[in-house]
Amino acid sequence: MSLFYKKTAGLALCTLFSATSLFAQQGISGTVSDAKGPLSGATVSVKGTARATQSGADGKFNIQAAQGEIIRISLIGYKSQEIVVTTTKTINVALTTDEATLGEVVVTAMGIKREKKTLGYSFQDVKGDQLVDAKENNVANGLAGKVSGLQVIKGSAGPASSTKITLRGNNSLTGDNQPLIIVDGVPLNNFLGATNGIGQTNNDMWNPGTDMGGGLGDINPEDIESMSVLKGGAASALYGSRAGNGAIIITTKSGKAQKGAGISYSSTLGLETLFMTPKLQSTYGQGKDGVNNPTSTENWGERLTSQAYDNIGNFFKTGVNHTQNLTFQQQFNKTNIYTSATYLNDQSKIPGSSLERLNLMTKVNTSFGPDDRWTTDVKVQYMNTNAKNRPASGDNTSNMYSTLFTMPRSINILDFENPIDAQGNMNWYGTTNSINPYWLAKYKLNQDIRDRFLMNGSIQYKFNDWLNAEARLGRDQYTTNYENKTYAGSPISATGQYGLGKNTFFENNFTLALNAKKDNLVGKWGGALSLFGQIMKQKSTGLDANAGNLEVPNLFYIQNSISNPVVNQSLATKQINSLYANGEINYDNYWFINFTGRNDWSSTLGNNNRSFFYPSVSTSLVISDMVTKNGGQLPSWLSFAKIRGSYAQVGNDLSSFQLYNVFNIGKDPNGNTTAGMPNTKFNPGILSELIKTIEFGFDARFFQSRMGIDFAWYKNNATNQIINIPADPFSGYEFEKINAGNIQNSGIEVVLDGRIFDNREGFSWTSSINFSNNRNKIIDLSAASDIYPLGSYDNIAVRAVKGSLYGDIYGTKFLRVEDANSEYNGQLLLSGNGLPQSNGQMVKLGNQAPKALVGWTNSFAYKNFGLSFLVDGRFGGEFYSGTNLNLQVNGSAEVTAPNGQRDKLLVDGVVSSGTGYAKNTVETTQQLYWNQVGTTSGNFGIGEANVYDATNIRLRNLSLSYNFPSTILKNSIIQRAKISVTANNVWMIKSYANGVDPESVFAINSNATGFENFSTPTSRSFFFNVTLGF
Amino acid sequence: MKNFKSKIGIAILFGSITFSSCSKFEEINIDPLKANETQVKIEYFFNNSLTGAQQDPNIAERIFVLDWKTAGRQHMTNGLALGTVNDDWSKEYYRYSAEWIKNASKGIQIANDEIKAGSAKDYTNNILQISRIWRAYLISELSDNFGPVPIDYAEGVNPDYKPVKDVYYYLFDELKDAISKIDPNVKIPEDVLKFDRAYGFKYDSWIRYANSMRMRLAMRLSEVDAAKAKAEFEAAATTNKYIATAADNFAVAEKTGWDPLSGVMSREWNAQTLSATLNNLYIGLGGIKSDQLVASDLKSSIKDENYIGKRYSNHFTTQTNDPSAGYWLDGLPNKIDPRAYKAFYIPGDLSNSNYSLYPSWTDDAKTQEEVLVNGSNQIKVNTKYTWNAFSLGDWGAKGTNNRLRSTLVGKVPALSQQFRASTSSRIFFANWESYFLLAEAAVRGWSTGTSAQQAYENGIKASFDYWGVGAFASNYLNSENYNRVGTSVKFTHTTEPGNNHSMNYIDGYTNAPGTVSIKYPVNTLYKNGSVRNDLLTKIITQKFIANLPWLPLESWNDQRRLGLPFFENPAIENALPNLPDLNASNMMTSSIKFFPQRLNYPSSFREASPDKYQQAISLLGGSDKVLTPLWWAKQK
Repeated sequence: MSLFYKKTAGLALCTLFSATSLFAQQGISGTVSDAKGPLSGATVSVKGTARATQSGADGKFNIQAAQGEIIRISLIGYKSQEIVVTTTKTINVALTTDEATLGEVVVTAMGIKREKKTLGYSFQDVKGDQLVDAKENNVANGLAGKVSGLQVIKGSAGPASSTKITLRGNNSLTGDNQPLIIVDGVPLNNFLGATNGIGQTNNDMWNPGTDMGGGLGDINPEDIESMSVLKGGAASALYGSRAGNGAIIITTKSGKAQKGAGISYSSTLGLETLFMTPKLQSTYGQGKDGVNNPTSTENWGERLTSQAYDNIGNFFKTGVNHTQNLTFQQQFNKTNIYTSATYLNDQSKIPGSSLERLNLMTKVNTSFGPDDRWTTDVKVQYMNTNAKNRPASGDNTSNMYSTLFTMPRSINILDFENPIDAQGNMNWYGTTNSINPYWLAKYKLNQDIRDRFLMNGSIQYKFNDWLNAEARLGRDQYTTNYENKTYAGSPISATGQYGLGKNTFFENNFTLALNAKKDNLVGKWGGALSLFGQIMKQKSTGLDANAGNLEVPNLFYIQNSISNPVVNQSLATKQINSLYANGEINYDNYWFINFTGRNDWSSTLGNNNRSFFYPSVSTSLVISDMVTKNGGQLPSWLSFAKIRGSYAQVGNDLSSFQLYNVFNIGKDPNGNTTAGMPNTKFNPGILSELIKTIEFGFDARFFQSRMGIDFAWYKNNATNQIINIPADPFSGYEFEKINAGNIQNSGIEVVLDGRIFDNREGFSWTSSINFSNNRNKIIDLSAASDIYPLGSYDNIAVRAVKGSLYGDIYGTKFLRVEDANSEYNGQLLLSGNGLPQSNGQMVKLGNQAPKALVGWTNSFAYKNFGLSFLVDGRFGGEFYSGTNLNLQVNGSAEVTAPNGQRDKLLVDGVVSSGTGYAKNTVETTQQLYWNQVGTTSGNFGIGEANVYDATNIRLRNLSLSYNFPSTILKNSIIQRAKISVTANNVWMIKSYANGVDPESVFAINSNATGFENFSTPTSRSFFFNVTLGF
Repeated sequence: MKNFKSKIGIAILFGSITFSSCSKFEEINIDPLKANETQVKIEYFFNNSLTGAQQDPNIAERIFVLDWKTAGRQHMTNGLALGTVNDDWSKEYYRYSAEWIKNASKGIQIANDEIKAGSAKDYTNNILQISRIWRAYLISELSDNFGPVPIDYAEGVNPDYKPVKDVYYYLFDELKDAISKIDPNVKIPEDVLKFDRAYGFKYDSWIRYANSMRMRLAMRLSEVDAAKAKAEFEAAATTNKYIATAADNFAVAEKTGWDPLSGVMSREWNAQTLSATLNNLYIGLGGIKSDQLVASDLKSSIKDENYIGKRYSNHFTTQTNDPSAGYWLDGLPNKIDPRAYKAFYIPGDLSNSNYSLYPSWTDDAKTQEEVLVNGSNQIKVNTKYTWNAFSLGDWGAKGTNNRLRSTLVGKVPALSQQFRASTSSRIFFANWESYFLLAEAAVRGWSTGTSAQQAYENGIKASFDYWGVGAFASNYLNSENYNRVGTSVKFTHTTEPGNNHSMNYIDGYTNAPGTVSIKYPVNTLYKNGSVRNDLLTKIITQKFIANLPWLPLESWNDQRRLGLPFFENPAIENALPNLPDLNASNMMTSSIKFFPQRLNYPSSFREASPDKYQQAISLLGGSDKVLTPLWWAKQK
């Protein structure tokens, strides 16, 4: 037995002993119940002391109390009761449900639990089971449509793709605009998208980096109790600089008292297919000019005499995904234990691509010591993800999707299922450098394995009923190993290529907190104050080696490179020290004022700018309570009403090593030293960013709380942004780091909900609609320029333009007659060949931002059946589809053969006739027309032709479940049993982009989300789940 | 009271932890993986610049092969030759070029600072001057692609763009001044020489290179600023220190792998087949018989001198002014420039050690049988030991039915393996170019210290030596044989060939023989098409041939400047989206609107520096388009 084991066992014994030790006080016991029977998990506490306990599975509790003391029994969803201890040693309490359920306690910043009614800002949370029901690999995807003002941008790069979340629009020009993710008080590094081995992002149009998945994707949805969405400003101010884009607080499950053994097992089987694909023509085959040609990659050939091949359908298979989850949770006196093990295996629809994930978690919290004054909470989450063959994107030969879609309709992909010939060379048609997708799946391999620990431990001591102190240590750490192998025999490399690398990251947070809270401090005034001190340290390192082309074919070894292997090393490290405080004043429990203040000292800023302070204030007035407490009476239809307001500032610092201009030292291929300049010009005088938020709102509930409305209006101004403005590379730098800009997000959010039928024994129906509208305006940019490019792709650009909305899409338009006096004014001005022309200018074609996001959830229950569905809609905004353009130029798009025909066409427009204009009379062909529209003026042709309305409405999720009634299970060891069926991306009710899902974005970590080009298509998935409790 | 004390204790604890670590912050923020100004040296920057400019495969394929070789008509590819600019390639080139120029500039700045501070080595100044010479080339390369470019680099601010004229004037001054400031008495230590892979910091070589560069740049202004061109040229030529022997050539050894030293033409999927432009110059030029040039088993494939080939009018376009259009030569030409068979392999000549089997993942190079499709009929064509070049452009259905053209590799001559395997040396400036510049200058009546004929013949000999065909030089130089565009080699032979000549052909479908009058093309860009065999045409023809394959940009430059040599118009069976002015009624004439004139500025520059972009456009004197001619180019 190792020493470690002995120590652990000893510690566990101690813990157990202290937890079970009894006090020398009079014991009170009893049962908590409601109309239907015993209630577990109710908090039983003695007022004015630190003594507290919870009722067990049978509703029973024991607590020490003296006569005259007051015992308070509370449970979320019920009205609390207070009972004065008399000589009676048994107290049975029947709780009545609180119709308003407004005593709901929620987790806010820094884990501070507060009653929802006291909050001066809008707050929405999502329960864990709602996330689990979505059955998405990446828990972020489960948030789609559930929270107002939250936009989920789901990557489509296979099963381990990353997902981007934005709250209330984009605050920043650079960076990923994502909220801070906090898991049980510990920040989780939610890296995102296409980064290379040393952490640089690469969203190049032709050869973008591979989407390496997001940090949030490592989390197991089954372990989540709830997610609180803090949309910014006052809500997240306490988290400081990193929560400038809001925060999402994930609380994992804690052990709860369970009937039976407390073990539950759940098994899910998922099937995944393509959701929607662009519409293709099926009547013309390989070749050009109406002539067949076996080496052509185009579809302008002869009319097909046989059926066109469904190469997309034939190549992509049905993805199979299964998840096994085993959970044990139980409460042993004062100790709660939650452990879970989950294994996910996703063999995606993309041949060769897979994801495996193993999640282990243990969480123990316990109270001990005299009066249970000590509380400890220890959690370890281990995550292991193994992603194979993340698909390539971009307009290049390694993108299977682009190869398949533009493949001649007369060629069968299944003929190339065996991707190599007898000599080991790639088996494929044609003479280009195009690559057989099956070859890619088998012989161009990449793999990355991440080992990650998310840990926290805290200890809390209650001095008395109003004061406690807590020390908390949290750590997020991971190591990612990745490797890529390309075999010999393809256009990529004659002998093969090899590379490998490793990234490590850790972040430690050490926090000390002192919390004081007292009601009725002075008269009806009460207050609470928390002080915090925190040290955050972060370090990441990267090392990768690339052999390039290999000498001995297919010998994957770094030293087997033709030229010297290239080695890259990276390092980033930073520290932030912080002091912050949260103060709360309430008057008679209906008026609440909350203040926060935080000062950060960041290592990344210059000496004079290192320290920055930012405050927030928020207030909430519960009008309904005010009226009743002051003797008034509410109208019968109004159950609750509250108004709120807040103002906050949040600062933000830099990444590490971005102050001083230095030089790179490297090696030339002969091993001699080189020196060079980094890409970005730094500025030692850079200041911290400042985001100011103002927000007002109200919520109200009607008809015994069966209906409710929550409304918020907000305005954020992100100023002094630290941005990398692009520079002319001949300045010496491609970017310069400056403070600039004022980006304003303003909007409204409305949530309506209702329990339309409410019969717990029979039929019930609840419905909730959330609506949000955000205007993301560029008030000011930099002194240098009124335009900031968010992405530029040849003759398509996505820009932030001063005075306009974030994300304007620019490109060329059709040349038209611009002569108000001409009868042809506004008509297309065609070339002498009768073909459209480009105006040759970059003009605004649209804007990528949605005007409104709407989510509508309905849940029905009848006896043991449950049915729910979510319809969500995005309204307004545009996107440019490079996929559609490529399909048009290639002759595979449906529009290139209207009604299956390729007759000559006469383009409606005019031609110059020397002095004026004359109607066009020159006929052209579909091939010439689309070739002209798609290739003139740049790689993306006449931009106007492929800008689409991004509005779409879809049935996002449909879920049906059945809970076996306890009468059936009565005599078995099974305590609970549930089966469910879930489908995601069920039905695209309305969209406008010829089968390209507006959700398939090109680059997930780019802010130019209005540009799409051969993204992997989105998926539809079905899940079958069985959950058993023992 | 006890609680109060605890609070104080916690407060102190907070405070001490928080502030004690602040003093370390300055340390945390210094990146240990980067160097500061005192740790870097000019030779490191110079090495980075010179090495980078050799072009790794990413940039080499884009700019050298697909832009320069295409615009310079060194191979048969449509793309830029049809006016289609690829913004991504330009974007990459802009980024790379900036990298090369800024590294040279930063080295110069660092050296200047050291010299000022007195911390410089004695040889630092000489490396500084060499860096300036090198940078002058890089700036000229940039300007010749886009037009107006900056002259101040790596100064941390978006630079002002200057008119092409100012850029050229600046480069003359830079080169002259740098040469004058090299102190040949200072020795550069042995262990530093490795940082110059071109010349090992040999002063004499760098000065010769600088003077040759002055001649090249001066000649560029011949049509627009003749007085300046003459003055600068003469100043350089009279030093007599220019690249005159092969040993002086600016050449950098290539290396296999994937890095800046990998061969610029090494990407296997670039077919790099013989262009019609080049083939029309090669055939008949110099009068050397194929019989003397090819191995014995190929000799039976040599055709008669007045045989143009098989006519396949349904499979070969004639919608172009390419004089050879419409015919397939089912053998080898009777007479050809001897360099042709060295530069390009003959399809099926597998015993040639320079036969390229690229792309290696297909058998295309080894396959010498293809078909011309005629409905359900297929006409077999054997390409073994044949010599053809297809005109570029859009061949419409004729091209789609012509499978030779769809495959190209193994069907027509393509670039010799010696230039593709990353085992050559990339030439930036060779002695023959100095001679052709001197010849042109002498023809213009400038004082060069040599005669036009002498320089012309020296240039040809230098090129023949490079290709290992020196034995044919004297016969070649005396040849009055016309090539397909009506030009001969002999310097004193300026007799015009007439407007056409009669040739025999065989109808490919019926095998019926016939006779056809083949036109010598009318190159309306040069002297309005009135001459085909004057001195300048001869010189530029030879320069064009000698430039292959290393200096495609210079070939493009000469054609933009003079309209020489003759570039055939792209075929227009279908209208070309990016050459809107070319149509069936004007396709027999040449116009600057039918050839690319420059690269558009990349979208990255447009987006990153909108003000300077506007400045650059206004200095360009036309819109930011591929057909807008540069200052020194022909304007119509």
